[in-house]
Formats: sequence, structure tokens, C-alpha cells
Amino acid sequence: MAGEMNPRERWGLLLMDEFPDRPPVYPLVTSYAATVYGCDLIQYCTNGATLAEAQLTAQREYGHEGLSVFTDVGIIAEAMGSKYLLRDFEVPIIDRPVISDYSQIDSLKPPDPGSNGRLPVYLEAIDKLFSTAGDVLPVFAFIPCPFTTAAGLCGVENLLMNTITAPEAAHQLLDVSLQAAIRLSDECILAGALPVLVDPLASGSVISRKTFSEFALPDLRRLISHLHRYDLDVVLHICGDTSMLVDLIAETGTDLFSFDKLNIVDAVNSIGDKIRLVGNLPTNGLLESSELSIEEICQDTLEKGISNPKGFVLSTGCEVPLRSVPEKLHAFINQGKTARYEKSPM
Amino acid sequence: MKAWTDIIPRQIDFREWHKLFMSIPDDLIDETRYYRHIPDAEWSRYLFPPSTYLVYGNRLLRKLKFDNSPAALRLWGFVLSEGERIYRARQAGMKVVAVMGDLGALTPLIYSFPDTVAFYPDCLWWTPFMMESKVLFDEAAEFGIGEDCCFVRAALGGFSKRAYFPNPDLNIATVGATCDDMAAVLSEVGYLGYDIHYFELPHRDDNRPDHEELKQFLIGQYRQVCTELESVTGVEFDKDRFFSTVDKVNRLRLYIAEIKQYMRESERNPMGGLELLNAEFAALSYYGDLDECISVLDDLRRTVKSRAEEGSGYNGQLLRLIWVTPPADPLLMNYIEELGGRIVGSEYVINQTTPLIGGEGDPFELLAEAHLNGSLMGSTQFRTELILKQVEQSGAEGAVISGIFGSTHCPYETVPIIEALRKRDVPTLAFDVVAPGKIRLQSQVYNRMEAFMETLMARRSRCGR
Repeated sequence: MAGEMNPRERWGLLLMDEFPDRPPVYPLVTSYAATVYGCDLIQYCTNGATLAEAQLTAQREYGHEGLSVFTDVGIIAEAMGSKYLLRDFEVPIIDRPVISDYSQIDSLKPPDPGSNGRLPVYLEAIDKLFSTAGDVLPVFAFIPCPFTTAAGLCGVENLLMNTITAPEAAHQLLDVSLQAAIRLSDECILAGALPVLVDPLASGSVISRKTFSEFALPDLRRLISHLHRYDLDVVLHICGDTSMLVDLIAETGTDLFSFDKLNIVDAVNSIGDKIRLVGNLPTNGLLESSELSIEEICQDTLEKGISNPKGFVLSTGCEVPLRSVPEKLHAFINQGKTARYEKSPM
Repeated sequence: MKAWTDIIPRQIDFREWHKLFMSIPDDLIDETRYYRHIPDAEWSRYLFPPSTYLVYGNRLLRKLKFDNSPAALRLWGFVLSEGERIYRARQAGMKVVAVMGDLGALTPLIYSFPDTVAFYPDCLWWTPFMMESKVLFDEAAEFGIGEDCCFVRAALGGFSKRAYFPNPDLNIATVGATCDDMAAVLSEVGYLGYDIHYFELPHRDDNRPDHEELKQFLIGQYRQVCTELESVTGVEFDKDRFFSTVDKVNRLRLYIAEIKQYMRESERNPMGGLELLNAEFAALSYYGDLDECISVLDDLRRTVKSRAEEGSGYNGQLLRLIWVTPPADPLLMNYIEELGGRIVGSEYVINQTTPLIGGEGDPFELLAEAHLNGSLMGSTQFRTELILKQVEQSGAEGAVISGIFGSTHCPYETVPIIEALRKRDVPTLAFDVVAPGKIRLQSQVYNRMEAFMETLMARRSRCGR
């Protein structure tokens, strides 16, 4: 239709502090794309062309406004030697961490995204998506942050223990994880994607505010600072409860914060003048068993989020579940697209 | 801007720039800003590598070659950040004026008003190529402006979508002896509800001595624009401010002329054709910041000068070429360089932005006088003479004319220009630039470029060069 903005244009205006016609609608359609495309998750996670095709198919079906390259949070740790269990109909999970003893940390090297593990899958998928649809749809590459990768290198419990009993070893792991994240981010950028930093293990649902401050925040700052050196807008996604971390999120320097269990009004009031907010439909609402009214929650989220001074993206609080009901996802996206900014140039 | 003294001039791709960028000092990145009168604005830095602009959709950057000097990096960053800059201008409370249809001669007047910047919607014609996208062309087609119109129809797409530049405070466009396709585009822009102030360009009959009459007419047009600007800005025209702006514009024009001079006189090619193209187009609207633009071009000029004086430059680019009509597809210029060519002269139909403006007298008369040098408002013979003069100055061995399919004036000029060049024994390649996505047609153009360059090389050998 003449005069209608496309997703690339909408995001472009948002990132320049302008108001597009309405907020972009960008639910985190990641592995759910495999369900839409009709492939199993092993294919999705191990073949870049399949991942890209699945993303494009899902986007054509639902019309959401961004392409997401993401398989699992262990992708960097796996490329550094940890073993992950790939499953047909569930996302990969850690099987055997590469580090079982502190003395092994010295031997860790940041992986080569062009050849190690499944990192080339990412790059192939980005390249294909950017070449096919990058003029109208932004491509986002989800990069596991250092804290989450460190957990994948030595196991979640071990990392959490290390933060208390062997903080130096934990920092050493975090250092190499940071280098790995920078390297992967750079390659994703060169393939045409904007990095979305994901740090689910640094969630308030997993660690304390103190642990976040000492072990997650410093490397998040460094990673974001590296991306800012290139003037890139950074999206940070932390799922779970982040209500006790909001002020620290602002300290990371992120430009956009994708959040889950955090009151949207509190987010707007506390960091909304500095950070664009991305959120936060509860993903269980997309499941069959849920009795939540998608339209009502969506409208409520929009009404509260659209007033965010720095801008707003309507999204889900976490990944769209594999078993989401299609009609519910359609309803969410369609409802989201009815919003309008009063200050829109249209 | 600091220079790298040990850098060997060469053209590099976006990957290499991304890595090289790590060695650019932090303080230099922080210091390199536009709109310096707004100190420390978090958005005003622009010294970034092509990869930064790539992820926001400029997909052609993956294929282009860039000069490896910090000055070229700065130039590219400045050019590629123009879109955002115009939005930031508006956010900072400045007035934004759109000038359309060969109106680069008007911008000294616009910038003489305080906190007022100009931009050139016509230049959106590069956007579909930079993004490798049909979005803006498809949008123009919604209004019936399709492939039978010049690529400037992308500007209509931009006006319709309202996502490429802020709503201008004032739209000024030409009517009369100007591009017919642009005029059609402007009619549709008006239909969208934008108010347009029309500036009438008289036809200059180069065989008739009616110079004074034309000048008087243009003076009247300039006075009307000035009234419009006073109304939009709420500020009266000020002669002192005008002459101070003219000083700056003249400096910028001199820099461009100097860069062109080094490009044609130096033994080896000191800079890429695309960097030269970016520099020449700076004269239209200064990419939205006159002061910073001068500094950017000064930086580039110093780099080109020092390379010319040292005799350094790119390897393997020997064949001296004049490029006629700006290529909408920037990749074509890289391609000719890859085949061994170097650009030693150009005629981009923006000659009205090249003469120095007089520093004394009636401002409108001075602007009108300079404007009368335009290539588009006069005869083909006038434009041909400009090209032949550059051939003579540069010792060009060939000419490339990148035409625009559907464009109303360019095709008619191409044949007489080819004839004139051939009479001077200058082989000429003329083709129409192919729209993004038409891969097979584009490969035909590449084939013709290869054959042309082979012919020139053979001719060189025959002449014992």
C-alpha cells in the first residue's frame, strides 16, 4: 500500500529517536520457525540454509518485523569444546562442559566463527537472510554473552560456585568468553546482522544483584563498548526476572533492553528516558493451556510501552515457545500492528 | 585529522576496514563530529567503517572498494551519515530545506540563514543501489512513475514513505529548463500534499547574447526564494552572513577543484573514483553541514595532494578515463578501476556548483551569475565543451558515459557527446545503468566494460605507451 513503512524503515526511524507510524512488532520467533517450516530442530540448528529458509517462511506466515538468527545459548561454548545434546524437537542442552578443572582454562581459545562448531551455521544463515530480505527486514544475530558462555564452558553450577570459591578462575573464563563473543559479533556484523546480546544466565531469576554486578556487568559493558565503538545500536536481552537489576541494566550502556518479567511501567519510569524498551508478552500466553487473552495483554502492553520516551518495540518476553498456538501468535502480531504513534510523520 | 604516515595507498573492502578500524584511536573517533555547535551530542560522531552502515541495510557496501586512508574513511562516514544528520538537524531545532532539480547553486543562500540546512532528495536515487532494493522504485510505481522515468523517481518513494528524511520546512524545486523526469516526480510530490516553491530556470541559448536578460530573471527567482527563507526561518536576510557563507562555499569549491586537479595530474592514481564522486557531490548541499563538509574535503585534499607529490597511488590503474553523467550504480566505477582504469575527469551535470562566487556586490546577482554556468540549463554543445576541455587537460584515453534508461534529457545528449569525443579520437563507451536486481542485464554492461578496457589497453600498446 502506498505510503506504508516497511520494518527496516520503522526500525531505522526508531534508532534515530524518531517516531515511525507505530512501534515495530517483533516477537522473538527463533526455533519456533522450525515448527512453521516443518523441519526438526537438529536440521534447524546445524544447517544455515535451513535456518534461513525457516526464518523466511515464518516471517512470511506471520509478518513479524525482524529475522532472528538464534539456535541456543551454548553455541559459543560448544565451538570452544563443550558438548551439547541436539534433539529433534527440543532446543539443544549442555551434555558435557569442556572445563572440568581450572587448569584447563589456559588452553581455551576464542573460536573461529568461520570454522568452529556450529558458528558457521550462523554466518551462512545471516548471509542468506541479509541477501534475500535485508533491504526490508533487519537481521538480528543472537550472541550469547560472556556470563552465559562461561556457564556453558564449565557448567552452570560450577560457574555459580566459582563466583564464590574461585572468583579468579571465573573471571578467567569470562575473559575468554568475552573475546569469543566479540569475535562472533564482528563476523555477524560483517555478514549483515545487528547483534542481540543474550544473557539468560545473568537473569535475576538465576543470580543475585551482587553476582551480576561483579561477574556479568563488567563484561557486558566491555562487549557493548566494543560495539559502540562501531556506532552500532545494541540490544540486550535478559529473560526471567530483572526487576532488581534495572539500574544496572542502564549501566551496561545498552541502547535497547529486551525484557521478560519486569513491570513495564517500572521499566518506562526507571530507564525509559535512556533506553528503548522491547517487550514483554508472557510467552506462556501463546500456549494452548493458557487462558490469558492475547488481545487484552497485547493492548495493555502497547498502551504502557508506547509512551516510553526513548521508543518501544512490541515483543515477547522470551522466545516464542515451540508449541505456540498459531492463532495466538497471529492475534498478537495483528493486534500490535493496529497501534499508532501520535507523533508519527504519516 | 591525523594521518597515517606509513600507509600504502590501496583500495580495500568493508571487511578489511572493519579490522583496520580497531587501530583508529578512540579520541579521533570521539573528536570527529558533525554539528559541532551542539557540543558532545551522543549522536554526532560519524567516523565509522562501512560495516556500521552495512547492518542498517546498505547491502552494496559488501561489494564496494574503499580507499584505505583515514581521510577517505571520514568522507564515507560523513556521506553515509547524511540521512541521520538531517533528522538530527530537525531534532536540534534547525530548519530543513529540500532543494530539488539541479538546485545546488541555491544552497549558499540557504546556509546563509542561521540554523538552516539543505538536503537534496534527488540524491535518493543512490539509495536503491546502495540497499540493493526496489522498495523506493516500487513506491514511485504506485503513483504511475515507473521504469520509463529516471532513477530520481526514488525521491518520490522517499516523500511518500516519510521514512528517509524529515518533513522539510521548505521544499524548493526547479521548473523550466530542468530535468523533465524530476518535474514529473515533483508533480506527484505536490499531489502528496507537500507545498513546493518553484524556482524557474530559464533556458540558456548558448548561441545568443542574452546573458544579462537571463541573469536579471534569475535574480528575481533568487529574491523570491530569499523571501520564502525569511518566512520559514523568521530571520531577515543578512548580507554579512551571506558573504561569510560564500567564503566557505568558495573554499569548498576550491578544494574540490584542487582534488580534481591532483586526480588528473598525478602520475599514479591517488584516490578512488567513488571518493572523487562523493567529493564532487558535496558541492550540492554539503551533506547537511557546510562547516564539517569543508573540513572533510580539506582532509581528503591533503591526502590526495601528499600522494600526488610523493608519486604514490594505486597499482595497476593505468588507463585514464573521463566519466560522464554520474553512475547511479556506484559499483560500476569500482569495476572500471578493477579493469585497470582511473578517473581523471568527470562531468556530472552539476557544473552550476563549480564556479567561485564573487565576494562583492549584489548577492542575488552574484548567485545568478554563478548559476548561469549550469550544464543542464543550456545546450548540449556547452556540456560537450566542458567534457572536451577536461579531456584536453587530463590526456584522457577514453570516456565512459553511464546513461539513465528512461531519462528524458540524458539519452539525447549521449549521441552528440560520443560524436564529439570520437572526432577528438577519444574512444567512448556508453551504456544505460541497470536497475538493482537485474543481474543478467548488468553482466552485459560488465562485458562491454571489459571489452572497452581491453580495446583501450591494446590501443595503448599500439601507441607504444
